[in-house]
Amino acid sequence: MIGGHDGFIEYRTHFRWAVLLVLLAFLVLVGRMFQVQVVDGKRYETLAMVSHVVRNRIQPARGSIHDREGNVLATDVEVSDLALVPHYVRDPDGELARLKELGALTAEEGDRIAAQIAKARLDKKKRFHRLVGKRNLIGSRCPEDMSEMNFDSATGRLVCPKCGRTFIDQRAVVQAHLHELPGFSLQSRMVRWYPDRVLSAHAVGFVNEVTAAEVEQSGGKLRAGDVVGRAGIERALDAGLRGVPGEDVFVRSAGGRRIETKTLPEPFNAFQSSPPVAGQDVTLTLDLSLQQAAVSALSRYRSGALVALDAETGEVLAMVSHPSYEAGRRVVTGQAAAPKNARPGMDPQYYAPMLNKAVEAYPPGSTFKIITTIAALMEGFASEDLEMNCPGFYLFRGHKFRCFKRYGHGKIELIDAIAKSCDTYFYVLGEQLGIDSLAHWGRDVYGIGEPTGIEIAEKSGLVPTERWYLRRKHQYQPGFALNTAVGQGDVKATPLAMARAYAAVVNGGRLLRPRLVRSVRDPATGEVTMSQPEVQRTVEVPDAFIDIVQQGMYGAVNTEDGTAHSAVLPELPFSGKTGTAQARERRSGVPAEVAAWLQQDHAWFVGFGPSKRPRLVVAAFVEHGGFGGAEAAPIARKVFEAYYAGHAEEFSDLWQGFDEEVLDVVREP
Amino acid sequence: MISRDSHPFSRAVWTTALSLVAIVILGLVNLSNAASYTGETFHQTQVLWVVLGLLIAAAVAAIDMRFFEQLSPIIYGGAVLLLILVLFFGKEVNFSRRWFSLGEQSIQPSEFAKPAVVLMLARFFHGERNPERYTLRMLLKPLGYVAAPAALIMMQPDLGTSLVVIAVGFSVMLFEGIRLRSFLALLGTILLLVPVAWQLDIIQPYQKERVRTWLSMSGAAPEARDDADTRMQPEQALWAVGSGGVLGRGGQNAVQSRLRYLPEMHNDYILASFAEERGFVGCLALLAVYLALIYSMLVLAIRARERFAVLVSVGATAIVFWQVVFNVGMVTGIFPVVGLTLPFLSYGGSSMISGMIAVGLALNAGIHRGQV
Repeated sequence: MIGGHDGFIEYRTHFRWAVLLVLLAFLVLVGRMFQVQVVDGKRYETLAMVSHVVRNRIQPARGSIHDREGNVLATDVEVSDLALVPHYVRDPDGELARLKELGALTAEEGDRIAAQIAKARLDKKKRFHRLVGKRNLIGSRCPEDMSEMNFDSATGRLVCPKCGRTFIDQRAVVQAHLHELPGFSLQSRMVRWYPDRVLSAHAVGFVNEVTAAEVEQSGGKLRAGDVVGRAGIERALDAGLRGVPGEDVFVRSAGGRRIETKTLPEPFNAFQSSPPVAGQDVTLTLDLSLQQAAVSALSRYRSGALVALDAETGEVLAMVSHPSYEAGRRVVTGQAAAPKNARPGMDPQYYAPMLNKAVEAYPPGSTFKIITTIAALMEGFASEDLEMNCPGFYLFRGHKFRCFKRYGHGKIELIDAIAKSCDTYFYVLGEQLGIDSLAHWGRDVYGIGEPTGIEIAEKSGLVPTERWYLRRKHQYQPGFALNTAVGQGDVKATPLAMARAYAAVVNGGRLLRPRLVRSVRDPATGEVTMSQPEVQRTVEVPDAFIDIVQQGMYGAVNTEDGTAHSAVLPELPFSGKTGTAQARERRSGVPAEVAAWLQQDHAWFVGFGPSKRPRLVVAAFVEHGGFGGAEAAPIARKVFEAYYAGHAEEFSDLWQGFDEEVLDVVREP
Repeated sequence: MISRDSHPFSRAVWTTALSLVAIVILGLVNLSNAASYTGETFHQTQVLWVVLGLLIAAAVAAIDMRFFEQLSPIIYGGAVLLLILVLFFGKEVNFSRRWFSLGEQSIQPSEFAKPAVVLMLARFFHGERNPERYTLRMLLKPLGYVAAPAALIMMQPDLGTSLVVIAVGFSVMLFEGIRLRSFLALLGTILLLVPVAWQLDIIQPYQKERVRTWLSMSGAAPEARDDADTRMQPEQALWAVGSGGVLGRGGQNAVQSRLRYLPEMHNDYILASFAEERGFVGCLALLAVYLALIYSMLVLAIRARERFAVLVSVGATAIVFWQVVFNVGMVTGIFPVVGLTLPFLSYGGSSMISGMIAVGLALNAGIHRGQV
């Protein structure tokens, strides 16, 4: 049987086939092993790694915003939401009934959550997704004004020290009974809180949750639920305020256990967590006392704005737009609330509460005459003793250009023409200067019609040229120059730009960039970066000419016949120029009251104080407010008063007209 | 003739025995590694199974083959009876009844059905007059011998083992010799039955899901978390195998295994853990040892003196071969998931003993060559 017999002859072929089959099969297996381990090994290794490494983003705290004194204007506060996973809610009806019983839910909220649960439970996957049942459970802060509430041990309720209302501490109640509420949990969330509510809404702005489209465009930087600045400083400095998210990186075992990467071998130990970089804290140049003065002065009117600039540094001490809105509400409830100071019958929707009118452009009216004056003096068309006769109109090429004073100012010289705002006088100067020279002095020199460079979004305004008319209106008439000279026609300026131009008139010719940001603090290093004054350009105007203009503006407020005499502050005089700009508007579908309002003139006042040593420039604007001297100047006066009260010492040598006793009172408010 | 007979065991016997021992040792080392990740002690139990298995293999090899021939109807009948009983009295694990509970341990009767089918088929063909080629009609009986346990196992349900029984049955029949026409007809019928079984839900929903997963499985990371659940098992295994690379990550760095991402790590997916630790080189060595075992078992079969012994050894070889092919194919993603063990490497007594019986049967054929 040796050699000769190797088993059954009949099976030999089959044996060979079998061996071939086995070899082939093993070849395939080895080939597959080679493919998986050698060819694609690296890729699978990466996949294995990535699937285990958990990366959780840590959201940094958004930076706070303060006024120049350090008062908080915007900050993040923590609120709690009631969250639930439908699948794990054992007894929806019972648990919701318990929550209602505890005072954490109203009947409607309970019904809504019951419907939410029922709907989610139909879906195999969605039933495991976490839902927010109710946002903003009442916790330690009052839902009305977000102020810290006190616990009243007698009633077991929270009492708001501001509004006096009492609340059940829903967060604490739910927390204490979570064991009875399987499937429910508390989830904390940061919301933006604006403690001063309406006071600085337009300058500070607000934040909102990002939209799905923005998340997509951000390339991974933003995620759903993130908030970004939408207006004002919140928007302008969004990147800095937002900070840099950190990442909590760890490896999860199949059992769900957390394993720190550094305890693991290569390549897992290369993964490192990074702490979030908190957002920068921003201190604004705003002075809340000036802000408050402007808001209360403007509150009598339907619509208006005010800007106060430090003439030496360009710091914006006040920026108010009226009516205002409550920024925090937009974050907390997702909708803007009606401003608190709305008078009955004055629905704010007609007066654009969201618009920052301090940086919107309007015809500046006679406040533009200061620029016309300087242009005429510089171009040699005017001098201090240039006298004209004002019969109440100026006849130009057969067309009567009317002075606001119907029967005229009679014989009048330059300083008086400014103080009394004689239109006739400036029509003549406008005719002599021509429109392009006015545009040169207005735009190229004093920056009207160009962006001021403030941090927040702004309109540019306009000083038209002949070319502009030909291009835009396809006709030019020499009479347009006359209108431009008195700030009418197509001239448009923002209150901010007017304030900046006036600051350049009184500070020695420095056109400054208005600054809202005083300093930025890096929370990691504690390093504070102060913003510095920025001179955009210098205007060379002889002191003698400036003196003429200043005298004219002093007269406007401080002489009997001045247009703004009603606003005079004799103790520490300020100066300025009124403006009453025709700006009739037609809007359909508005109540008669609003339509009538739209027919009124814009009231302006731009001034500086103290007159003898100008430091503060105020531009007050009342949209369709009427006569500038009567409506806008008193608003500016309130702001000057507030400023003087805060800087009494600085101007102690300038106080006049009353005794030391009063001065002491002002010094120590 | 005399000189050859003075060596009681041929080289193939030695090769078979040595490769078996090699695989068993590799398996124990690997299993103790796997156990160390989780701090479990199942590798110690496995030592008992290995010892018991080796004793049984020796016993099976020593017993006269005629004994098996005479006893095969009883063995087969007993195996089928157990398969019926397990459907009613088995322990339900993961929605299937595959196990009899015996205190701490449990027995998987389907494992023992495999050698039983082989014995029964061998006995049938041994008794036949052995025509040149079998026709389909002639094969009705042996087909029934295969179909009965295969169907019962399918009902547990346990697709993997059922497929192995079918593959083993076909291997024996093919080796014995079927007319090509008959073979193609059979193959065609089975292929036609697959969609019918799919439609009639004889193939369980979870099995369908596995097929879908396999069809969609690529090198891409799972996109949605929900998706990850069904994909987890096969993909994690594939990633573990891939992570092994050329030389393997070694026991300490085998992260997939250490982090317990590998499902059924010590069981059906033991190869994934092995592959991650030992890499392509290790896998190559392992497959080489398996090849040596299977080839030498085949040699033992062809050298047997008796038709019965030949067919039993071929069937025994087929058991080991198909299990290796299906298991390695499953772990590396060639096939969809069909739960079955890797012979001698996976943890488990039934699988170990069943494999040992198979090798014992082949050895028997080699040892008792001269005793016909």
